[in-house]
This record gives sequence, C-alpha cells and structure tokens, in this order.
Amino acid sequence: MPAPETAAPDLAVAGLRVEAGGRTILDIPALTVPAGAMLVLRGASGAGKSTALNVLSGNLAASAGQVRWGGTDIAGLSPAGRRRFRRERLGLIFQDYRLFAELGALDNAALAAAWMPRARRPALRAAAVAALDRLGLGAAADRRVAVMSGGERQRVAMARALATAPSAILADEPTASLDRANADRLADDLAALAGPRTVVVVSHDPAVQARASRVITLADGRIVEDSDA
Amino acid sequence: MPELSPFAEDALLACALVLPGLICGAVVLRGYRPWPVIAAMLRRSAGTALLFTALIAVALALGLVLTAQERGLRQASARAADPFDVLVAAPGSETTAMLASVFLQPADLPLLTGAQFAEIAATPGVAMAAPLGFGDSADGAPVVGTTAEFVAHLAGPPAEGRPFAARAEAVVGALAPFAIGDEIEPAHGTGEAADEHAHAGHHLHVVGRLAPTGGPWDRAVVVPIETLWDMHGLPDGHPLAEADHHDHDHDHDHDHDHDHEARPIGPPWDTSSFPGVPAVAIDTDQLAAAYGVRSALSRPDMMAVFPGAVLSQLHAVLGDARAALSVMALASQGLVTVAVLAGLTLVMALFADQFALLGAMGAPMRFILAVSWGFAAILIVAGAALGVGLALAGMGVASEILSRRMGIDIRAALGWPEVHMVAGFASLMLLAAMIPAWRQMRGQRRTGIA
Repeated sequence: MPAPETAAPDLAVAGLRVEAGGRTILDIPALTVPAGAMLVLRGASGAGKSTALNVLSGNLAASAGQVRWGGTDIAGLSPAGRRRFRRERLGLIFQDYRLFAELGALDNAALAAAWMPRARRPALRAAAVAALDRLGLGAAADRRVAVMSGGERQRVAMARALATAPSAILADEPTASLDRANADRLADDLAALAGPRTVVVVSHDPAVQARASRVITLADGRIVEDSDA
Repeated sequence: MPELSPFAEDALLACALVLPGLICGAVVLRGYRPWPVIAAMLRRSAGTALLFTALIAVALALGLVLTAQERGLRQASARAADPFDVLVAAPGSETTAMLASVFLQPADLPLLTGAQFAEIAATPGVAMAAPLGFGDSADGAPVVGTTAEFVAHLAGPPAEGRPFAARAEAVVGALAPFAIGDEIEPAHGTGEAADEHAHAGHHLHVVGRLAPTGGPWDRAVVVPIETLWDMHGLPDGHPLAEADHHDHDHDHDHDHDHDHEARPIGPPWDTSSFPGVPAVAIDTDQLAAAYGVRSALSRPDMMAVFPGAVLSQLHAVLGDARAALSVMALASQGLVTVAVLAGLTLVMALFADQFALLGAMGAPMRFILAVSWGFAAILIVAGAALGVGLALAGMGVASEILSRRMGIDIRAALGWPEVHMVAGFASLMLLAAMIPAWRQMRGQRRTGIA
C-alpha cells in the first residue's frame, strides 16, 4: 500500500456553515478529528452528509467558517487552490465508482498520472500497481473495468484514491453498491487505511461504522449524535 | 535577402497555416497526458465520433476534389492545345476555331480558300501548315482530315500499325473504339444529327493506332484531308489526270474507294482545285517565329491565333466560376465547422460525469481543457486525414468520368493549393475547437464528490 507523502493531518472544523437558497443546509460549530482516525458520518437522506463531505474535500465552498486540514484552511483557498489541495493531499472514493469503464483497472487506478508532472508519473503508476496488488487485483490490472464485478470496481476506485499517496481519504457510501461479502471486505480495507491516513466516510453500513474510531450522526445539517461525546 | 524557391514558398505557407493549430495544441496539452481519458471518451462515443469524422472528411474532400479537378482540367486542356503552335481560320470566333480544331467540338466554320492556304504555307517561319477538316463521325468518334505529317507531329509514329498512305486508309486515336483492320463507314455530321448513309460506299480501312496524346484526338478517326473532300464530292486539291476524267465521266457505278485509291494524298495542293478547309494548324520553327506568323496572318480575310492563349482567355473568363466553386467549397467547410463545433458541445455534455470526476479529483482546469480540446482535435485530424484519402479516391473517379465525357486526359492530383487548404482548414478547426473546450472547462467550476 503506498504510504502517504505527508503525515496524516488532523481535521479541525470551526463555525462551518453552508447556505443555499437562503437556507442553512450545514451548520457545524466545531469538530476535531485526530490525525489517523476513521470518522463515519451517517444520517437520513438530506441530513447534510454529502454536503459535509463536499465541503471537507473542497469541492464545495463554505459560506462561513474554517475547514483546516493540518495547517491548511481549505475554506479560505481559491477554487484553484482547493483543486490543488485535493489532488495533492486527498483521495476520494465514490458510491458509484466513477471509473472509466472503457479503460483497464491500472489505467483507472493511475488516472491522476494524466495531469501529474512527467517526472512523477512512473512513481504514481508504480503506486497504482502496488495498490491494486494490495487490494487483490494485481492479476487484473489490464482487465477492462467494464467486465469487472461491483466489488472489483470499488477496489479499483480505492486503488485510484490511494495511488496519489494522499494523507487523507474521503469516501461517500463506498459499500452501498456492494453485496455483503464485498462490503465487509471493503470495510476491512478502509479500516486498514486509517492510521497512516485520516479517513472520513459517509456510510449507513454497520460494518463500516463498526470499524470506525468515531461515528457522527447528522440531521438537518447539524450534529445530533457523536459517539465521542 | 535571397529569393525563395517556389517549393520553399509553398512549404513555408503550409507551415504558417498549420502553425496556429499546432501552437494551440502545444499550449493546451503542455505537460499533460490526456490520451487515456480521451481514448475512453472516443470508445464510449464511437458512433458519434465516426459521424463527426466523416462529416469533416467529406467537407474537406469535396473542397479538395473541386480545386484539384479544376486545375487538372486546365492543365489537361493546355496540354491538348500544346501541339498547335498557331491556328489559322477564316475571321470569326477565335474560341470556336480553337474548340473545333483542338477539342474537335462540332462547329460550322467558314472555309479558307486554296489561295489563302498557299499564302499561309509560304509565310516565313512556317515549318508545317496542315489543313484540318472535320464535321463527320464514325460510331460517335469524330472523323478528322489532315496530313500524315501533322499526325506525326501530334502523336509521333503510330503505336501500332502504320500511318495512312492512301485515300481509303485511316489511323485511329489511342482511345478510339476501332481496331487495326476494321472497316469504317463514316456518317455525315456528328451526334444525333449524323446521317449514317450520306457517305455510303466510302469505306475507311484502319491501318494504324496512334500513341495517346491526352487530347480529344485520342478518340478520333484521322484520314487524309483528300478523303474528306472525296466523301463530300469536292475536288481533292490535286490536278485530275486524263484517266481520272474518263473514270468519272463514264463509270459512275464504280466503287468510290477503288476510284480514289491511287490518287495522291498530302501536299502540295493545286490552288485552283483546293476546295477549302475550316482551319489550318501551323508548326513554326521556333517560338519567336510563331509570333511573326501570327502577326503576318492576322488579316482582314483570315485570323491567326495561339490556341493556348485563347484557352487562357477562356480560363480567365471562367475564373469567376472557379472563384464561385472555391467560395462554395469554403462555405461548405465553414458550415461543417460550425455543425461539428455545435455537435461537440452536445457530445461533451454526454461526458458530464467524467468531467465532474476529474474536477472532484482535483485535476487542473487546463487538464479539463486539454481533454475536451484533445477529443475534438483527434476527430479533426482523423477527419482531415480521411478527407485527404477520400479526395485522392474521389479525384481518380472524377478524373475518369470527366476524361471520358470531355475527351481529354484529365489527371487531377493533390498539389500545394490542396496542401494549403488542408493545413488551413485543420488549423482553423483546431483553433475553433477551443470554443466548446473552453465552455466545458468553465462549466467545471461546480463539481461535487456526491
């Protein structure tokens, strides 16, 4: 498994608010996640989980507040700055894999090489190979994703998130499209990622929650339950 | 500053035309390797991509074929006129005289008399003066009367057989639908108005096939000028001997061929029995002499023209049509450019999820631009390459059809104008492809992980 290029950052959220259409859809006054922890966000549909994940990843600008990963407040960065932060520090895993079905597993896992500086491409590709190997897909590196099962696809997506050696992983319902056996395996893999990395997962899956160091429940954009509290 | 050779000028212009597109690509793609993403997009939209490629290819090929074909036609007609240094005819339309003599197009020309012919032949600088007579046909092929000397000047020694040596003998052009040994019964006139039986009893025996000249004479049946005069019941330019008088007076039922077989052919002709010819082709000793001959024979009772110059005037008049063709070709390419760009904008929308993923992963905005532009660039370059291939095939087919219909050997080929057209078109499209690519990039400001 590729080691993070930088030490896992702690996550510190302060006064975070996201407003849309004159309505507050996320309001987190304070939240701190220690470096290397695995945090699960859960809640009913519309509770603000995905909004939270998008703000924490810098894909969505906050209306107010701070989202500090280590020493970097990404809420204060420009869109280009947040993009740079994402590609250099974060690994993302999506519910519906978001893979290029026409490409092979390795080409998907090493996707970021396409925009990386030339000098970093061989290392990134080697990291993608190692990640696929670690996730049990070493022999399937050249297989097209289109012919892979859901579990295999999600592992390819995980390998892609790891190939850039991120210091934090953010995942949105990564087991939602998988059967039980594959979901359990992915939950194990996610848990294994924590430690060297900070992991934030949106999930309703008890198997994922059981492996997390902390579980937070959101409702109407606010934290209503915190296993640490 | 040293003067550039035409090749260097054309090559530089081609480079200058293609350069904006290449610079655009270099700036957009610099430092990135978007090809795997583009390959995935192409595979996903293979049908649409092929359609756009074909659209670009057809638009470009049409323009290339039109311009190359037009140039091929001009060159072929110039080649056809090349053996005719100076053409002399009775006063009238220079174009009609040229079209009738060089391109064997049916025309009713006034005749030059024997005295005029003698003056023409005696003009200083005239190396050869050949009477040309036309107006008859055989199986659709024009029957032309002239001298063996002019036939040799036009096409060299026969590729098969031998030159005609008697009244009833003929040589045929390289593409004429006759073989050596065929007997031909010519018709009076040409086309649908031809009278098949007007020359009944006059048979032509094919004794030779000419080498190809690339001109309309390749489809002609060429006979001694005297044969044409005979067929029309005219004096034949040679004094009648006593025996001939006797034959004509008392043996009307005798076969015409047999009657005239032994009569002489070719110059010199007797001025008083010279029945007249519509045109005289002149070969001059040298180029300078040609100007002198033209000047000397441009008189109130006859006109002397350079067929090549008449052809150039004709091409100049037709220049407007050529310009219209070029505008139409450019307009069709412009329309295709607009259609393809509009289509690409729609196709990009099909990849919204893929672009959102790239944005969510933090791919730089310029990388999104590189993917969008690269996708369009591949279609454009493939379309241009396919267009050149289509044009080459189209030129072959169009040249074949036009050559058959016009009777001249048209050989259209890609030249520098076409290279410039391809370079300019591709470059312009590569630049224009920035529009949908830019729109795609700007649309990436709002992306999300979920």
